Amino acid sequence: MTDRTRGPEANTFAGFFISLKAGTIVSMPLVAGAIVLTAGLALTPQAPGTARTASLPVIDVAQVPGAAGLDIGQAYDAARAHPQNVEAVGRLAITLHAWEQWDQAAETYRAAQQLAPGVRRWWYLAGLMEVARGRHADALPLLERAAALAPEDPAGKLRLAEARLEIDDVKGSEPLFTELARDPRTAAPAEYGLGRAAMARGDYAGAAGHLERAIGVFADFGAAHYALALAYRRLGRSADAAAALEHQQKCIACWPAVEDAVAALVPAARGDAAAVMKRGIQLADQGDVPGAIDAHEKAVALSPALLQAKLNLITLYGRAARWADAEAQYRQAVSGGLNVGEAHANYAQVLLAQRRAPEAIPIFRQALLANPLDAPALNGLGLALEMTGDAAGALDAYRLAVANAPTLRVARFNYGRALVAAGRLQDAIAEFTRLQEPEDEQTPRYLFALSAARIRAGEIALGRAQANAALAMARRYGQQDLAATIARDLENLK
Amino acid sequence: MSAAPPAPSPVRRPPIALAGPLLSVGLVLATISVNHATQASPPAPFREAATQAGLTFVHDNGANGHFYLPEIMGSGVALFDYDGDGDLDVYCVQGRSLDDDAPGRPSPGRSSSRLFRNDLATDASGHRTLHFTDVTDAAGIGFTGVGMGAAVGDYDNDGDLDLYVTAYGSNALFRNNGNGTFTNVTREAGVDDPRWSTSAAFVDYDRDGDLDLFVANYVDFTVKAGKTCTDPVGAPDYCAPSAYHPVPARLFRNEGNGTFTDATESAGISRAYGAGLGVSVGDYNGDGWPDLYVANDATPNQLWINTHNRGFEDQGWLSGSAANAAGRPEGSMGIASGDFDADGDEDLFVTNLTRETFVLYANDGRGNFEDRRAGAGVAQTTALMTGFGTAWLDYDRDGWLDLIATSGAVNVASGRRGSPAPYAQHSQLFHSAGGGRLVDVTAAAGAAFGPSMVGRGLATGDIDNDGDVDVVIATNGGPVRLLVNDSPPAHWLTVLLTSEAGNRFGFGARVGIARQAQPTMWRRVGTDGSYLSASDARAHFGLGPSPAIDRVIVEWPDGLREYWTGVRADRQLTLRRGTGQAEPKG
Repeated sequence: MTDRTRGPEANTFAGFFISLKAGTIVSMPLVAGAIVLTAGLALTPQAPGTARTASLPVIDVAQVPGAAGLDIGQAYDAARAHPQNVEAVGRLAITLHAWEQWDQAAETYRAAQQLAPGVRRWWYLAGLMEVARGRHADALPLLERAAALAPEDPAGKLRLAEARLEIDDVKGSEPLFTELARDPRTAAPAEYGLGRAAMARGDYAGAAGHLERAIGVFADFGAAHYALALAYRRLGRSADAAAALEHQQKCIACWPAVEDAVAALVPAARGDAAAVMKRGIQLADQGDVPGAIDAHEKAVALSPALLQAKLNLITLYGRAARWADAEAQYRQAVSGGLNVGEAHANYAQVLLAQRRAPEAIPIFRQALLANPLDAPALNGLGLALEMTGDAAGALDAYRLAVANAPTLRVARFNYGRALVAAGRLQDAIAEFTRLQEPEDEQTPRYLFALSAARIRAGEIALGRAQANAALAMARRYGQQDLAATIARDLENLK
Repeated sequence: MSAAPPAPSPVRRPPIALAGPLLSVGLVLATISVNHATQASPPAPFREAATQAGLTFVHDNGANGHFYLPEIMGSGVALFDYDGDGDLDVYCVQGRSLDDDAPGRPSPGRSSSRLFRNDLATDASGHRTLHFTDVTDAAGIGFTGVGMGAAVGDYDNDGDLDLYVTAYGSNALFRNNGNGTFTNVTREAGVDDPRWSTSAAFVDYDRDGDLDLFVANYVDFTVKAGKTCTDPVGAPDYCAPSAYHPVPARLFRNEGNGTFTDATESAGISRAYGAGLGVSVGDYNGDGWPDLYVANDATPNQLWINTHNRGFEDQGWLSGSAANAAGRPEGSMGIASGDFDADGDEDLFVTNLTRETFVLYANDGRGNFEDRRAGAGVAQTTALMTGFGTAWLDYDRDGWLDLIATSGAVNVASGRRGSPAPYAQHSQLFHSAGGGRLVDVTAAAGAAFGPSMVGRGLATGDIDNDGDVDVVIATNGGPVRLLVNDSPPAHWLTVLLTSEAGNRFGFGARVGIARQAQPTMWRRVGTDGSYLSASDARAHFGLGPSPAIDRVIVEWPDGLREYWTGVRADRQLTLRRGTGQAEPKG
C-alpha cells in the first residue's frame, strides 16, 4: 500500500488527473493491475440465455472525431453486429465510459446487465461511472448489486461503503468500513471512512482516532490528513490541526491504492495519443524523465498534431540535458505557429539551465510579449538579466514576477536578493520577512537571507539571532551545506 | 471548472531556481447533460417577463471559433436603484470579441453594457406594471470593454449607489452624480486592474465608515498566449483554468477622499489566491468584523478572516471551506452566503462544475464549516450541472431561505456535440424544507425555469416592490432573463438602512426580525455574492402567515446595536441609524 492515487470520489478513469501545484506530485493509477480489455473479455463467462439482444443507444459516430471516433466506431460496429453478445456490448460500454460519453455508456451498461445479469462487472463499472459523475445515489443500487454478486471483493465493498457515506448514509457505511478496516488491503481507506462517518456524527475525538489509524497505515494519505486537521480544530487542538494540514498540503491527492482489476479495464481501453501523453506527464511528475520523454514521443508519433506533447518535450529534453533535442523541438514548435508563447517560455528556461543567459533573454521577452503576466518567465528573465550584469533590469523583472504571482516564493526571494544588491535593505527585509511563512525546507535559506539583510542594515543583534535560528533550522532539515555556510558567516561576524 | 479526466496537459517549465519536479497543467474538460430530477413541493410561480417589461439585452460573448476562454465566462448583472426613485434598475454587463483588440482592427460601433431604468407603475387598484427604459447613453455609463461583472456600493458616501464594472482588461468605477448620470472616475480613484477581473465586492473591512473594494481576478489568459484545448474526444473546446496561471486578487482601501490605496499586500491578501470567480462578504466567525470568502476555480477557496488591524488571514483550509470533504479543491464559481438554517450565522453555498456537485458549507458560528451537500439534498440533482450565479432567497416568504442557482456548461456536453446550444443547462430552485434540508422544486417553479440557457450572473431583489424577491439572470451569448415572483400572498418586510455616520447604506450590518416563539431571522445588508453580480441592498424577510413582529434589530457594522418596536409588516421600512433604541449586543 505505497501507491499514491486518487480519491474515491474521483473518476474511475484513473491516473489522468494532473495537479498543477508547484512541486506537488499527485496522481498515479488507481489500480495496480493493468489488464487489457481483450484479456478481460476472454475471462468473462458468457451469460446463459444468449438469445437475448441488447438495446443499444444510437450513436452518431460521425460526430465523434479522431481516436475517440475510431475506438467508439469499432466497438459500436461490433456490438451492433453481435447485439446478443455481452462481451461486445460490454466492450462498447467500457469504450464509451473511457471516452466520457456518459449517457450512452450508461445505456450500454444497462444493455450488458440485461444480457448477463449475473456478471458483476457490468453492474460494478456502471456504478463506478455514476460515482465519477457525482451521482452517488444512482451508483448505490449498482454497487449493491455488484457487491451481492461478489461479496468478498474488497474493492467493491469499499466503493459501496464510500457511496453510502457520500449520500449521508452514515449508519449504512460504518459496518462495511469496520469490516474493511480489518483487512490490511483496505485498512487505510476504511479507517478514513470511519473517521469521516464519526465526524458526520459530531464525534470529533472518535474521528481523530480513526484518521490517525488511517495515517498510521498510509502516511501520505492527503484526505485523511485534511479530515484530521478539521477534527483537531473542532477539538481545539490548533497546533495539531496546523501540523495535519501541513502534511495534507504536501500531497493533497495522495490516496492508498487498492487492487481493482475490473476498474482498470476502463483506462486500459484507451491507447490514444492524449492518453499516452497523460501517462507521460505522470511519469514526469514522478521524476521518471526518460519514461516521460518516451511516452511523449510515442504520443507525438501517434498524433503529430498533438501540440502539447511537443511543448512538453522541450522542457523534458531540457531536464534530461538533451539540449540539441530541446532546441530542435522548440524550432519545430515555433514554426508551427500555435501556442508559440509557451514554446518560447519553455525553451528560454532550457537556455537558462545551460547558463546561456544572453540567448535566453530575447526568448523570455518573446514569451512575455505573448503573456506579460507570466511570472515564471519574468523570474527567469530576471535571472538571465542578473547573469548578464543588468541588475536594474533584473530587479524590475523580479518585481513584476512578484506582483503577478505573490506566492511564487522563489521570485520573491530573488526580488529580495536584487533589492539587497541595489542597497534597498529595508525593502529587502520586508520581502524576506514575507517569505518566512509557511515554514518548509526552503525557510532556512530565506531566514538566512533575512538575517544577512538585517546585518547589512546595521541590525546586528536581530540579524545574528535570526542567523542562529536559520542555522538551527537548517540542521533540523538536514541541510548541512547551508548550515556550514551560516556557521562560517556567524564566525566571521564575530 | 475542474474535474477529471483532463484533455491534453502541458508539462510546465519550473521556475529555474527550484529543483523540484516539473509542473503540469491539466486542461480539464467535462461533459454535461440536463437533469430535471425534482420532487413535489410547494409551487413557486416565477414568470419570465424580460421581453414584456422591455428588458431587452442580449449578451455578446464574442465567440468566433477560437475558443478564447473569456468568451465562455461572462457575464453579470447588477440590480440597484441608481436614480433613487425607490425601485431597482438593471445594469447588464456586455462582452465582445477579443479579436476587436487586434492591432489595426477597426472597432466600429462596439456594443456596450446597458443600464435599464425601472419605470415601475402602480395604478389605483395597486396593480403594478414593470417597464424598463434603456438610459445608458443619457447616464453616461456605457462600458465598452470585455465586460465581466459588476459591484454596487456608495463608495463616496454621498447617498447614491456607485457602480464598479470588472472586465477582461481594464475595470471601471462609475461615480453616481446623483442626477441620473455617472462619471468614470477609475483613474482618479486608483481602482483599475488591467488583469482579468471577475467578481468584486464593496466592503468596509477596516470599519472606518467608507466602503473599500475587493476585486477577484481569474487567470493570466491572453489571446497571444492562448492555448489550444480539446474536449474528451479531441474536438476543439474551451480550456480549463488550469491551463493558465491564477492571478491574485486585489484589495483597494478607501481613503475617504475619493481615492483608494492598493492594500493587497499590506492586508495580506496576496498570501493566497487562486483563479478567483466569486466573492462574498460575511462575518463568518461571528466576531463582528467583515470577512471575505473567495470562490476559486479548481483551486482552494479562501476564507479571509478579518484580523481587526486592516488585515486578513486565510483560514479557508482549516475552516473546511477551501475544498470538498476529501480536501480536493473544486471548480467553485458562484457563492450564496446566508443563514439558511436560522441558527444566527452565515452559511455558504458554492456552485461547482459538473460531476463535482454543488456544495453547502454549514457554519458552526465560529467559522468552522461542514460539507453538508449530501445531507442537505443538493448533491444528487446538481451532479450534472455547471453552476454559476446563485443566491439564498425566501421566494415563498415562509421565513426560511430557499436557494436558486443558474447553470451553463463550459465545455460541450457529452452527446450534445453539434447541437445549436451545446452549453445550455437549466436553472434550479431549491425549497427549504426545514431541518437543514433543501428540496429541488425546479419542475414546479414555473415555465421560467424550463428553457435551457447558458446561465452566468444572477441577482435578486424586489424589482416590482410587491414584497417578494424577483430574479434577474444574465446568460452567456443570450438574452437577459427576468423572473418575476408571483408567489402566493404571505406577510413580509423589506428593510433599507441609512446612516449619516458613513457607510450610508449600512453594508455589513445585520438586520434581525424577532418574533414570538421563533428564532430571530437574520439577514446581512450588502450587494455582494453570486457570480459577477450585485443584488438588492435591501434586506428581505418573509413572515409567513403571521404579520406579527416583536422587534426589528440592527447590528451596525461598527457594533452599535439598535432595535425598533411597533413595526408593521407588509411594507418597506427605512431604518435610520440612531433612531432606534440602543441595546448592548448579545
